[in-house]
Parts: sequence; C-alpha cells; structure tokens
Amino acid sequence: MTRSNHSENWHELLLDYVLGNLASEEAAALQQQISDNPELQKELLALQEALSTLPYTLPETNPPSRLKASILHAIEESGLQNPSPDRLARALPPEAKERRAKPRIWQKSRILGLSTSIAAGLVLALGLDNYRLRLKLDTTAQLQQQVQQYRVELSNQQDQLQTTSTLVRALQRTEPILLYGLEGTGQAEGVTGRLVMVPGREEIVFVSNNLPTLSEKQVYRLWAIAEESASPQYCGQFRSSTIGAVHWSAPTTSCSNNPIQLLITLDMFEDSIESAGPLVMQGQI
Amino acid sequence: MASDLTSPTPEQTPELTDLELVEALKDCDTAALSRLYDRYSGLIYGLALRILKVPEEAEDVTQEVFLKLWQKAGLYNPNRGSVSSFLVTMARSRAIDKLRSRGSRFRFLQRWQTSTVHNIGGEAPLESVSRQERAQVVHSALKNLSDKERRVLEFSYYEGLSYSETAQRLELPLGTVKSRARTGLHKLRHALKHSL
Repeated sequence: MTRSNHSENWHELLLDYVLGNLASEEAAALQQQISDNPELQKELLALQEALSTLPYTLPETNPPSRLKASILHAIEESGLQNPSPDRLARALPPEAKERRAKPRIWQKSRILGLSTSIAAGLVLALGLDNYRLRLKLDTTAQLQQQVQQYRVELSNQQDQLQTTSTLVRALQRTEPILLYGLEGTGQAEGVTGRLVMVPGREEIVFVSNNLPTLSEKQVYRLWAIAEESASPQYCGQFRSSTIGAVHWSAPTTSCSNNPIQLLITLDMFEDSIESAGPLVMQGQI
Repeated sequence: MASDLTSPTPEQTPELTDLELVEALKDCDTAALSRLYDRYSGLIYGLALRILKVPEEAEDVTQEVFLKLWQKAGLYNPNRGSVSSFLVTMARSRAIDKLRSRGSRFRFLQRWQTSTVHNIGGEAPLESVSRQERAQVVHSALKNLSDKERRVLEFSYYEGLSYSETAQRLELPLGTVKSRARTGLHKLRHALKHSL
C-alpha cells in the first residue's frame, strides 16, 4: 500500500465509512486495509468520535423521571441484578468476587459476541476473497481506481433503480398521470424528453435523450406554468444522468396540478430560485 | 475524575470516570448504571427524540440502550472509542432502525467489534467535562463549518440517510452532498482535534 501517495483517497474512504456510505464489501476491505495501520486507525477513531459529538448541540431534554426506575426495575425483574452489589463487592474476597462477576448473562454475552464475531469474520472473508486476488495482480493505485469506479457505478445503479421504481409506481397507479413532451432549445437544441407526473403528488420522472452533461456547479431546474397569465413556479432541480432518466420530488404538490406548460432552465447550483437561467427545454401536455 | 454537572445529587462515593463505571457494570453494579444513566440519559433521549420525534419511542430507545449497556458492558472496549461515543452510536443506530422499521442497516455491534483497535491511551479531554461544557465545545467547533456543510452533515446524521438519499431529500446534486458531508465532518474532526 502506497498510502502516502493516496492519503486523500484513504481519507475520503474513511469519511464515507464513518458517514455510513460504503457498501459492506468496501467497508470490510477498508477495515482489513487499516487493521495494521495505526495512523489510519487513529484517524478513523477521531472521525467517529467527532461525528458522535453532534447530539451535544441538541437542546437538553431529559426523559421522564419514571424511566430510570423502569430500567432498574426491568433489571431486577429479569434476575440480572446482583443482590446488594456494593455490599457484596466490598465484603467478598477477590477470588469470590471474580467468580461472582461471571453470571449466566455474561456467558450468553460471550456466545452472542462470538457468533457476531464469526458472522463478521465470514462476511469479511467472503468480501475480501476477490479483493485479495486483485490485490496480488494490481498495484495499489489501480486498486484504488477500481474501488472508486465501483462506487460510482454502484451509485449510478442505485439512482437508476430508484428512478425505475418511481416510474413503475407512477404507471401502476389507477389515477391519471400527466405526460408532457418537451423539446430542447438553445444549448439543448435537438434534445427531446418526456416528463411524467401524477396530479397531487410530488414525484417527477423525466426521460430525455442527449441532455447536455452539466459541470459540478450547474443544475437543471423545472418550472411549471399553471395558467396563461401565471408566473412560472419552481418545481425542483435535477442533473442529467448517464442513463437518460432522472427522478426527483417537487417542493410542492401544486407543481403537478395540471400545469399548461413546463419549462426547464439551466442554472448555477448556487443561484436563487427567485429568477431562472437560460431556457433549454419547454413543452406542453 | 469526571465533573458531572448533569447529576447534581451528591453521593457518598467519589466521582468515577465513565470507564470506571463501565468496569463496575461488569461486576453487575447497578449503582454504576444509575450514575451512567444520570450522566447520559438526557443526551441519549434527546438524540432519540430528534430522530424519532415521538417521546414514547425515544423512551424505548433510551431504555434499550441502557439495558444493552448493562447486559453487554463486556463489549465495550475503551480502545475503540469513548463511552459517550459508544452510547451515542448505539442510540442512533437503534433509533434509525426503528425509524426505518426494518432490519439493521447500521449493524452497530458488528461494526463496533470490527472497528478500530487504536489505543487511545487514557481519558479523552471531552470525557472529563460536563454535558454543558461539551455542548459549548461542539458548538464552537461547528462554527468552522459553513451553514450548508452543517445542514447536510446534520441532516444525513439525524435522518440516517445515504448521500444519494440525502441528495434526493434536499434536492441537491449528489456530488454536492458528498462534498459538503465529507468537508463538514473533516472540519469538525479537526476543530475537535484537541478535545477528542
């Protein structure tokens, strides 16, 4: 591992891991990679600790006072409580205290802990099988690149699945759907698209061909015109996708209230929605 | 020694650190659980309430967390994080599991067992201050984040959402969400560098 050359990638992976955004195989592979790297272990620990401080900023809210009694009662009822633990702890000789400190619950705990460890180990082993084979063949840099590609691919697949599911749900409904045809203009001359909405719902699916890919800071915005003299209403934003289909939720259900015309503009991500960028597509039902 | 401002009731026993109290749990010492409850129940309940929005469910999570701590104190390894982090992570995991009403997306115990093994080498500075002081430290650290970074980080944390789910819910591009969440956590980690 030439970690020093890829510290940024590692750091990004650690951040994604702590934020819960690595697939299980990726997470297992990452754990394996850092298992003998104290520096990365230290960084991972620091990130986990930092994230877990967020709740300290919440308003202090104490649970009802009865809850503590309820918890202690549950312990007593379950027989897990050691009778007079303080007195016994002080009175018993060390060897007796040691014996006393291992009631059934701890044996169960160990069995459960062992089972969890075995399960975790199996997942780790299965997940790492191919990973290790590749590790023998590839350089670390190539491997990193592959992981990154898999992550992008996985993300795209998830987006595609979500879009497909949304579209299927919309088409399965018994209530009528609104289907708009849109045509490109300006920068999107020659592009065509279809947009599906269900009256009274926020979900929107848009399918197009060759909609220009955007830079990181750009975004497409949808606007609905309810009636002849009405101002365009902002109905959410999206980015072009490699599969040509995207879905999103409109900020309000009024967007799907039978608008007579739809407009798509090209905007900078940071732009206010009080105004719109250049028109790139428009269409009617 | 911890200065516990959240449990004003004076006790005869000297103030114990979180680690000492967890060690005492292994000897089935309910007084130790009582002390830990006084110290962290507000934090755990507040977190669960923030995620679930329903007081009864937040109570359930709080109860589950402390019962689990009682039953499985042996799982806690100080080399893998502070007691506070252990409890917060467990509470968040259980609350989000409830929120999703399905299997454990956050396999907390597995993750805890297979996570880091770095030796902290003693009590972290934040462990030794009160809830109010910790809140001040974290508030101050969060000032290093832009409003947008903080919003994405907190939204995904409390809602238990992935980058793509967060992007969808906040109607932001996926890349923007990734960038803001990563940068936000990175900044928070460095702002708390001397406190963790």
